[in-house]
Amino acid sequence: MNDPIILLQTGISGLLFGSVYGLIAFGLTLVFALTRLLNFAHGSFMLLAMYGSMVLSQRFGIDPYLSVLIHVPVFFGIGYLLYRWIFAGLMESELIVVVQLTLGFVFIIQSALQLTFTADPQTVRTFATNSRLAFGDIVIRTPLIIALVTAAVLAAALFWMLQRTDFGRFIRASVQDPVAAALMGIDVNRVRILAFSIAIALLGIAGPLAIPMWVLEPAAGMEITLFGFIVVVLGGMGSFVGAFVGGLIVGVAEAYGNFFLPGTLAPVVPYALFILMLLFRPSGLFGEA
Amino acid sequence: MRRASSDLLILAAGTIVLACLPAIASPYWLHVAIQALLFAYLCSAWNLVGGFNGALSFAHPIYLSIGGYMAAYLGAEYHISPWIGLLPAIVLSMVVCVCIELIVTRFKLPVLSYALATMALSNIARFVVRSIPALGGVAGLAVPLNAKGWTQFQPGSKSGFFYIILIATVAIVLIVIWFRDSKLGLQARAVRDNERAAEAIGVKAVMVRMKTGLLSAALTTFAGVFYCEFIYIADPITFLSPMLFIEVILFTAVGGMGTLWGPVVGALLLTPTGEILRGSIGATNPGVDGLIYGIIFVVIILLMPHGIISRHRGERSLLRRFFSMEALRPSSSRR
Repeated sequence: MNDPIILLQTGISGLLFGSVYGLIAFGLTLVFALTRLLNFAHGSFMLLAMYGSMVLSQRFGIDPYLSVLIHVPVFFGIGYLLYRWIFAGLMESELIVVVQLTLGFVFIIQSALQLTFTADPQTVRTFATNSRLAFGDIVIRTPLIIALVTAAVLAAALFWMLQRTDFGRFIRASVQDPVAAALMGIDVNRVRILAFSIAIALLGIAGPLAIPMWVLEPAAGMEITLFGFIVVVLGGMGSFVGAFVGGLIVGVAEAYGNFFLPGTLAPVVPYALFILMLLFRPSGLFGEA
Repeated sequence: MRRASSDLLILAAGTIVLACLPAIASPYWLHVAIQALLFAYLCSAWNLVGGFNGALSFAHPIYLSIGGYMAAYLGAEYHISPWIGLLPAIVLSMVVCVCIELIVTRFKLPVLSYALATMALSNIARFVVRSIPALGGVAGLAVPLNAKGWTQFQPGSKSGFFYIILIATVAIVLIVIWFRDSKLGLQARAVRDNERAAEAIGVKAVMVRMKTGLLSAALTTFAGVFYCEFIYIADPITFLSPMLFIEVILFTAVGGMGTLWGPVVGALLLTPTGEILRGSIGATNPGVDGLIYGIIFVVIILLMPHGIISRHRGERSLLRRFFSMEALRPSSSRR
C-alpha cells in the first residue's frame, strides 16, 4: 500500500489542490494587510459562489467552469457594496466588532443556503469531473490540473499587478504606511475598496475550481475561512508569496492525512500542522520575525 | 462599591422573579428557560475571557466537552456521580487551558492568533473525540439510565434542572461582580485596552490572560456537566461544533461585551427569540429561523456596536456614522 508511485501521486494531487487554498489566502492577505479587517465570512462567500455554480449548472446547463465568467463581476460587485456600505464604517471600530459582525454573516449565509438548498450535502458535475490524465505511471484527476493552471495564471497576474502596475504600487504603499500613502496623493479608501472587491471576486473563481473535489454543505463556510487563515499564517502574515506557498503545503498535508489516517481522524492534519507552526516558527514561512 | 450593591439588588430581584417560573410555566417554556439560563451562564463564562480580557477564544467547546464527557464516562464506566466527576473535569480543563495559553503566547498578533489557534485546537479536539471508540465515536456517550436522584445530578424533573442552572447562573453573576471589581479584573481590562501600556506599568499580560482563562475554563466545565446530564448525552456534534460558541459570542456581543449584565441580557432575550422562531416558521421552512436570527444579530451589532448594555456611554452608533459618511474620510488609526 505504500507504493512510491501512489505516494507521489497523492502528494502531487495535494499540491495541485493546494493552489486553490493559495487563491483563497491571497484574498485574505490582501484584505488583512490593507484594512486589518478579519472577515470570518470569507469562506461563506466562496460557498455562495459554489452554490451559484450549482444553480447555473442545474437550471441552465452552464458548466461550473464557465460560470466563473458570471461570478467574477457579480462577486466583485458584492465585495464593492459590502465594503462601501458596511466595512468602510467599521474601519474606526475595534477589531472584535468586525469579527462579531462577520460571524453574523456566517450565520445568515448558512441559514439562507439551508433554506434554499436544504442541509443535504450535494455534488455538482463538471465536464472534467471523471476524467484523468496520465503522466507515465502517475495518474492525476483533470480538475486538479485545471485548478493548478488557473491558480498559477491568476497568481502570475496578481504578482504582476502588485509589482509592475501603479495600482499595485498604491496597494503596497497603503500597506506599508496608509498615512504617508494618503499624503502622497493616493486615495487609500479607493485602494482598499478595490482590493476588498478583488479578494471577493477571487472567491468567484476559487469556488468553481474546488467544485469537483468538494461536497457542498451549508455549514462548510466557517471551515473554508479557517483553512484560509491557517494558510495565511503558515505563509507569514501579510506575505503574498507566503499565501500561495502556504496553500500548497496545506494541500499536501491534507492529501497525506487522508492517505495515512482513518477517515474520522484525517482532517486533524492541517490543524495540527498549524499548531506546530505556531510553536516552532510563529512568524510563518515568509514572515518577518 | 456602590455599583456592586445596586447590581446585587438587581440580581436578588431577578432571582426571586425567575424562581417562581416553575410554578407557572408549561414544561415547554420551562425547557426554553433552562436553555436560556444555560446560555446566560455560558456567555457570562466566555465574557470573562472575550469581553473583559479581549481574547477572542474559540477554545470553550473543549472545556464544555471535557465536562460533558467526563460526567458521562465516569458515570457509565465506574458509576461515579457527576458531582464528583466535576472535580477531575475541572482539573483537566485547567491543564488544557494552560497548554492553550502557552501555545498562543508564542505568537504576537493578539486577536487573530488567539482566535485561530483556539479554533484550530477545538477542531482537532472534535476530530480526535470522534475517532475514540471509548468515547462513543460520532454517536457520543449516553448518561447511564439507572443514575437517578439529586446526588446523581438527575433531579428527575425539569424544575429540578431549572433550579440547578438558576443557582449556577446566580453564582456566576456573583463571581463576575467579584472579578470585575478585583485587581485581576482591572488588569484584564488594562491588557485588553492596551497590552503594551499595561506591560509598561508592570502588569504581566500572559499571567493575567492565564488566570482569567483558567477561571473561565473551570466555570465552562460545569456547564458541560450540566448540559450532558440535561440532554442525557455527550456527543461531538452538540458539544464540539463551532456553531454553539458562535451563538455564545453573538449573544454576548448583542448584550454587551465586557459588562456584567450584557451576556445575561443577550442570552435571556435571544434564546427564547430563537426558540420561538424555530418553533413557528422554522418548523415549516428550516433555515428561515436562522436567517431572521442572523439578521437580528447583524442589525443590533450595527446599531449598537458595543451591545445593548454598552461599556462606552454616549457613543454614536455605527449606523449614524455610516449616514454621516464620517467613515469615508481618510484615516487609518485603529485600536
